[in-house]
Amino acid sequence: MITSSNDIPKLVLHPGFKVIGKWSGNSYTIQRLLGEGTSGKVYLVKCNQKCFALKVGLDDLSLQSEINVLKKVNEELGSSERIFVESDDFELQGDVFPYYIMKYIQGVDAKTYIQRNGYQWFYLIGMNILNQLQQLHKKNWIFGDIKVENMIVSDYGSVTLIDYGGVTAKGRSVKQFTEIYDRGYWGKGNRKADEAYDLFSFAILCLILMDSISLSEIKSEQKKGAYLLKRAKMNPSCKHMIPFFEKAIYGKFQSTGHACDEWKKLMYGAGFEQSKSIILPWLEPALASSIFVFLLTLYLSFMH
Amino acid sequence: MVQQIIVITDGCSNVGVDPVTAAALAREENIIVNVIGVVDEGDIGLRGTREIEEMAAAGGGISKIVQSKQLARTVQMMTRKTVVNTIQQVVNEELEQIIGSSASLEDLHPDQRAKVVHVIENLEENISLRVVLLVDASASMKPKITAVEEAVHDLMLSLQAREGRSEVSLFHFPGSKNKNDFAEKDLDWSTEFAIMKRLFYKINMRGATPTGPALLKVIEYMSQKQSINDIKVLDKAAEADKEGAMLSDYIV
Ligand SMILES: Nc1ncnc2c1ncn2[C@@H]1O[C@H](COP(=O)(O)OP(=O)(O)OP(=O)(O)O)[C@@H](O)[C@H]1O
Repeated sequence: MITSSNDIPKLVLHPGFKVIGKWSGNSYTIQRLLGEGTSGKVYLVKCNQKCFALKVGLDDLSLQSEINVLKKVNEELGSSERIFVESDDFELQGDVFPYYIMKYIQGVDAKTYIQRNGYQWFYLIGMNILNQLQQLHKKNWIFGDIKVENMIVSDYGSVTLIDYGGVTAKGRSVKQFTEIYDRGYWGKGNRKADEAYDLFSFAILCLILMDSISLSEIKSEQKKGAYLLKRAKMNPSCKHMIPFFEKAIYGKFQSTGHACDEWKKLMYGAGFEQSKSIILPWLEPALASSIFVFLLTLYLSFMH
Repeated sequence: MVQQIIVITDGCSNVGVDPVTAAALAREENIIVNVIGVVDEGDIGLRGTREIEEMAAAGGGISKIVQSKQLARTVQMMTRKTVVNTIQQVVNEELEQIIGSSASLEDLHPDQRAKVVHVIENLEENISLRVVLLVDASASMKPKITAVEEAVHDLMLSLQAREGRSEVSLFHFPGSKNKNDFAEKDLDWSTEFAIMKRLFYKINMRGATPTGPALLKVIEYMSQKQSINDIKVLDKAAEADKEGAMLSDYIV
């Protein structure tokens, strides 16, 4: 029987545990848990003093499918860009657990990065993500599950896409997606893997990174493209990117190449300028002035 | 061909044949029955929970009790699982013949496993699929009906994107036009959401919940269509043969 093992939620690997590959004999020592998602757990491991990331899946079938994609993508990348290292199985108390090893990427998610280092990094990070997508798209893949959690930003805003579980061959149905990033959810098209699908999710990602929309506040009656654009226009740091968002949300870009060009054009235009001059981008001018009046009143009433 | 019925309900049946029996019959007809219990407040009760679980068990499917906001995701997940499980069964049988009785994916060398999974994924994308959503339209379902409509819409959106032929049909029970009608069709086999009648107006205030008889009606509907469309229907044996050939090419 092919089993989709459901034992993994219970599987906890402790620091010091040696994962030994059943087929290769290679051994990796668990350091700590890096993160965990709907499809599995990722651990920091060491092999000969070198750090790697190890992913154990919740479902053998999806894990193997992710490995298949990673291997194919790897073939087409230069050696410094490859993130897949190897896949194998280990045994623990009579059970077999498939896993794969990838490069360990040091960094944080894009939202944290921007919060720490400032909004001006948004444009560069956006460009880096678009470039990564373009590379993938050229090879006839779609990333699918673009979201804050699925990319790591390292020093100077460099971006690595992780979690290839949603990567889908162009023309097929998108394998994995997250509702709020999904154009179908917003009534802006189907779930067939094409470049525009990723560009739509990318636009949502941008709006989330710039605090223009937040995951918790969206209600089903707002599920319209117009709502997204309205939110973008209200944010002074996003305003100059509106032509980009408009095209991405309404599926107007002919290709990711065009999207990259547009992004750069807007970025070198007013985009950078704008983000530097606004110190508190989330404060609407009207709100700021009313706070000022409020403080003034407070001050005056205490003076009396 | 994968055939599935998803029953969406928030309570217990109270009229006619036992829905567990009806679900077992569906299984015999090669139709998987999955059941979703929707509750936003309170719970579905012990009797309701047991009925839901037993229906799914008899129908070879799964059951889940969720809130209405999780409905769309649950319908997607169940559909996907049904497709994958059906394919895995066929593949398992083949694997057993090729590598022995207790074959499991992990017993395969990683290279072979990669190829088997590749075949499974191709099948998953291409196998033809039919889904009937059978919706409880009793009075208590009223506040949840919009969520049901959204879930149907969402399912169609995903299925449209598949390469294989996918069709969805929708029934509610009991029928609202005719007192003696256990289930009424709102949408004939279709790939488009646009032609669906609003379920909202079909809510029934009479209080009868004929889950079993409604299931029977849907099973009959599904098997009828099968005989008319004989040419389009790939029978399971033929599919198994086809895949078997592909698999043994890889593994032997
Ligand atoms: N190569 C890596 N280097 C460093 N950290 C990583 C690496 N891969 C994953 N992580 C961390 O582990 C977390 C979970 O990884 P991943 O997204 O692959 O899991 P998942 O179960 O597929 O998640 P999802 O719920 O998005 O499907 C990531 O958010 C990240 O913090």
